[in-house]
Amino acid sequence: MNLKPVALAGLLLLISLSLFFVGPLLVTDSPDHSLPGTTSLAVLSAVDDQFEKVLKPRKFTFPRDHGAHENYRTEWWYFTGNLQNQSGRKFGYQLTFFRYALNRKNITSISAWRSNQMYMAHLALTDVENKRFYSDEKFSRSANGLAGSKTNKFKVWLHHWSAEQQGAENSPIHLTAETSQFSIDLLLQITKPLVLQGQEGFSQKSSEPGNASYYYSYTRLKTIGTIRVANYFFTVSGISWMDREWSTSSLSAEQIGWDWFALQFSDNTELMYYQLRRKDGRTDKNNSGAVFLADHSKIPLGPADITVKILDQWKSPHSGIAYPSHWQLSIPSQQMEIEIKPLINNQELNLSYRYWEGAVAIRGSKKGIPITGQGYVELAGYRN
Amino acid sequence: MTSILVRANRNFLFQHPWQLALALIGISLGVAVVIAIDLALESSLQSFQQINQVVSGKTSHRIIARDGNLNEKLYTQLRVELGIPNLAPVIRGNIQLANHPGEPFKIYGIDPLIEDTFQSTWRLQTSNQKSAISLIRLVSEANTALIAKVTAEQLALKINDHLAIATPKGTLNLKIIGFLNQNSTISSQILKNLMITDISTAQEILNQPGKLSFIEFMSEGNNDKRFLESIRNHLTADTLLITSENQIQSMRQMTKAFNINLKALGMLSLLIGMFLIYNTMTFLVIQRRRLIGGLRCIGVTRRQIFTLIISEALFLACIGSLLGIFLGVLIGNALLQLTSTTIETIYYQVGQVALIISPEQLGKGMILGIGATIFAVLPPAWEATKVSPTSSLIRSQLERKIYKFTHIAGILGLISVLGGVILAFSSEKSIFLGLASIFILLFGFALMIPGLTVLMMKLLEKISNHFLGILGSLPPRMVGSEISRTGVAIAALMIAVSATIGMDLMVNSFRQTVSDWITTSLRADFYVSALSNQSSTQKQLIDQSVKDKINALPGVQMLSSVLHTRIISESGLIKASVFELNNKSQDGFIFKQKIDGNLWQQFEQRQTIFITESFAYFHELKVGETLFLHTKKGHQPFKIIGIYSDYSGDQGHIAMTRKWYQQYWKNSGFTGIGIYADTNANQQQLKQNIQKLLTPELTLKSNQSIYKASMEIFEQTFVITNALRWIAAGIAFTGVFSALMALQFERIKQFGILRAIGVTQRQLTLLIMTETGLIGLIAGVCAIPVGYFMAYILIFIVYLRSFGWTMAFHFNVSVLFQGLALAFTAALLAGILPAIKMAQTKPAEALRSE
Repeated sequence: MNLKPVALAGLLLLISLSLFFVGPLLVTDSPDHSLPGTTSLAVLSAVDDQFEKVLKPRKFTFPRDHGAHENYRTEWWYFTGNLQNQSGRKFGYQLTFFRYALNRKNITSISAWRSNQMYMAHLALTDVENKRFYSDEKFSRSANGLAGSKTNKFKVWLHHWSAEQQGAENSPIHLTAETSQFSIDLLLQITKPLVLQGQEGFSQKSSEPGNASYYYSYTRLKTIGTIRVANYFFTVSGISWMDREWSTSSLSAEQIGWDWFALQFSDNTELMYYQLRRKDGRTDKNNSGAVFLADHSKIPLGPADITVKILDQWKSPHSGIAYPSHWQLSIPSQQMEIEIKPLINNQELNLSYRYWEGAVAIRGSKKGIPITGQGYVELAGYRN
Repeated sequence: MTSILVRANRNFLFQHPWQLALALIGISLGVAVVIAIDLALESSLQSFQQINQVVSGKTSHRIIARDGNLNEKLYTQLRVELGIPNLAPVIRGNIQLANHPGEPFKIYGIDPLIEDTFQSTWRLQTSNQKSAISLIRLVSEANTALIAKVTAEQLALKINDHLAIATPKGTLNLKIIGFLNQNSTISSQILKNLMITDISTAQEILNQPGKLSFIEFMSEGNNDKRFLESIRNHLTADTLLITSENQIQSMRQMTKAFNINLKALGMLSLLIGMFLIYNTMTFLVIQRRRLIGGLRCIGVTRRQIFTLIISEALFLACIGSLLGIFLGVLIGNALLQLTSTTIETIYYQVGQVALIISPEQLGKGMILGIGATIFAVLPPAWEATKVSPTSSLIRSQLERKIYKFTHIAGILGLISVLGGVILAFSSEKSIFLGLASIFILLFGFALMIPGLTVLMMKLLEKISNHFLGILGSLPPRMVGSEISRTGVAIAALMIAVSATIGMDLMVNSFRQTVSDWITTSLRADFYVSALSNQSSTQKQLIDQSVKDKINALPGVQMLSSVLHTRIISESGLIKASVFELNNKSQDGFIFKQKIDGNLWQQFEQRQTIFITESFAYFHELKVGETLFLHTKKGHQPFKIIGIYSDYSGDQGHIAMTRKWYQQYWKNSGFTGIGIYADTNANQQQLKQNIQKLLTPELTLKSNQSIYKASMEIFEQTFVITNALRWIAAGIAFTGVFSALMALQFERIKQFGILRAIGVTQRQLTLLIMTETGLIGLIAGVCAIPVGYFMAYILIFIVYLRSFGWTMAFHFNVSVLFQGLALAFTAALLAGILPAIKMAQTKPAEALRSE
């Protein structure tokens, strides 16, 4: 039997779903990006107008806003973290839940399976010592209890994979997900309060009104737990990061991808910065980020405040795509000069939607004092 | 030398085209029937597997519910609570197209978002849009469906067209958003009349919210043992985990008896076909005795002669078998509809069936055809080589030898008959050996035929010589003296007719037994039952409230009820009938053992069951033994206190009271309610009153109409048997026809002499007709005891072993007369054409012909 169509069908399904999560950037018309599925997106996005748009800052209320916002098309719960066991063996992990609304129709059905809310989850693990990277994905409709999120407490799940707050607000979040190859079972303690990204949680991604998202993060989550690689269990601890974001549309046709940095420094400060890559190669004025200080204050960053220099590239043997693999980041206002390097190069998620999302190490200086750190970088929209 | 040989024979073969044709018919019909049956039966199973491939893909296990309806919450529990991957929920049902009523259409509801481990065919579908998008559209848009391209072409539908289906709530338009991809592994027939929708759409259409038909599981390796373990631990008394292999195996097991019995009929056709081949080849050898003698005279060796005849047979066998395969596929296609209907009603849901042809099956047919031909041609081939060059030119030499052979054959026949009888009774439970014994018996009787014929003809010759003179004694003498030809024809005809008689007797006995059983069982005046729900694979049940309302009607003396369901036992899923009986309906049970006065009291008050005869036979259970059943309170022992007759299915079932059922299983409705009217009640009035209480899904029937309907089902199950029997008879008739024709045409000179010495046309016609009539009569007379024997073995050995049923032997004289008449008429008919032809031949021409 020819396996190709099977794989293709699976791929197409995922592409059609994930295009909306990781970036409508793929909707652009560039010929080499007319991946199967993209041309048909018009069918699914025809009902665009029916979704609410992110037009202005809003007031967040929790735990309500930890739950899904089904009036918006896409949404995600994004966990990444750097961990190590007692002997110092390093691991990175990613667990992400994506929600995608297929349409805004009201549903009346006798069937509990009828739903227009789709969930997708990605799980990845980086085994630094063995230079191995594992990833897997799951899909389900939000129906019949198979996947969904709660509004009365932090809980999102897809089948057996879940992120759930153990008790009341600010109590630890329990992450659990497993595949036949690897699994994670982690407890994430909120050590720094929730931060609203952009303008009070309103994050503009391109100039058109509505091309924005609501965005908040937990930038420092003290993490303990167990991970499993094949049949080996490791007791680990470390620091995680959580991003929550929902929107109906974000990128413009000019924007083809993004690089996103979530960095945690040894001095109890963090940095989030995303830069949107344009077709014309110019710096996008919507690039944005912030430094989060130890005293919980926030210093916003715009494109003028930061320079990102790519020092090296890595070409994926799977996809042939060349990704940046070594960066130099300077923030003159903070007197910060750092270099960012992936813990291992191959952290490409070869799932139905392909992107690079990996654990990184940081070395550099801040105000003349050496600084180290760790974090995650996401590279989306790269192609051959 | 070889080229002379070949040419001489080729010329000979082509000079006798009709002999050639008959030989080919013999081989091809035999092969065709065997192939057809094999194809039809295997295709039913293969179709089942292919539908699985389309809907579920590769699976290792399946979770089913005992009543066919799985709660969808189980799926969520397995996925979310237990974290079990690679599960696929499926709901299936039947739908009706609004514009093509009567054409069965299957709907399968699936979840497009499951892992692609299953590699099911629905993933590989084509549409104007890309596949993934239409899979998403299945979920996101209500009333969307995938159908096969063949179906779409047939219904003249394009992508995004609508297909109207009939639902209880009216017509519903389904949008076709993609085509199921056809590939080499899936027959396009399978995809025909099949529709894939999202599970939500299917639940809506079938009006079965909350229900799944089954959940598939794909175990990927040893690691998954813990998943299987946790699935097992999570199953309730109403759910069962079976392996896919087990499922196919149990299907094979279920249809094994059906299968073997049909194949036996196929083999019977081939056996008779072999007679035909033997007959033709003998004829061809005999006709060429002069030629062979001549060839031997000019130095051709025995070996060359033997090779020549065998290779000639091989040539015929190849052509005949090829024709047979072609014909077999055609017949198989026709048979498939019949077998699948039977399988569907009696055994399991097949869904759409398609004739699936494997090269192995065709190879089997080829080998069978060639093997049978060579086997049948060996005696004449040896015969041709063993005679010396000069003697081979003398025909009488052969007849004398054959004459001697009849004695040996008779003895061999007797031994075979005895062996067959011993095998029949000593082969315990084997259906195969039971049927084999029939074949050995038939073969034995056939071997005895020439000897018997010679004896009978000698006797008849003496009698007719005495009363009718020389001309009168001619027919028996002709039959007896050319026994090499007539003997085979009589044997073939005898076998066909005895098979007819045997089967008729068996079916009659069976019919009578079933009729008696139904009459005894139907105790109530009226029965309310649920119609099979068109849209569901499950029968709908009758509510308690309906029963209560009927009970309250004036004129109702009492009620009885039954629920046909399935229960999980140690050995898997078994059928169960749950009864509420009254003293009248209790009389409807025919027990196979002596019963004592408190049997019914025990049945009502203790944790006991009755089992049917078939159930007892197949599970090797006896009264007093205990069966453990899986209940909501764990495994519970049920003591068997009675075994009763039941012919409603060949797997058998258990029976328990409703009281005990309700204690251990969830309370369900009823499959049927029996209504007993007061003796002085106005039945017509009562009938009308009951009718008023019933919803459209429920039917009210009198016991007579149930009787009638049951008997119709009975007849339906014998459709295939009858069809095959007539095919066998047809081959036999062809055999007789060819033998007699050959015989008569061979005697042109003889008839010429008769005509020359003053025998009139009329007398000659009469002579020929009498001879063939005699042949028919001998065959018929011999067929009667043989048929009787066959019926006996079929009833008491083969059917008991196949279905676990005992039946009473109902002797029917008319069957015997019919058999006799059949043999006689067949032979007489075969004589007409030669008789006319011979009679019309001018004596001088006839004399010249040699």
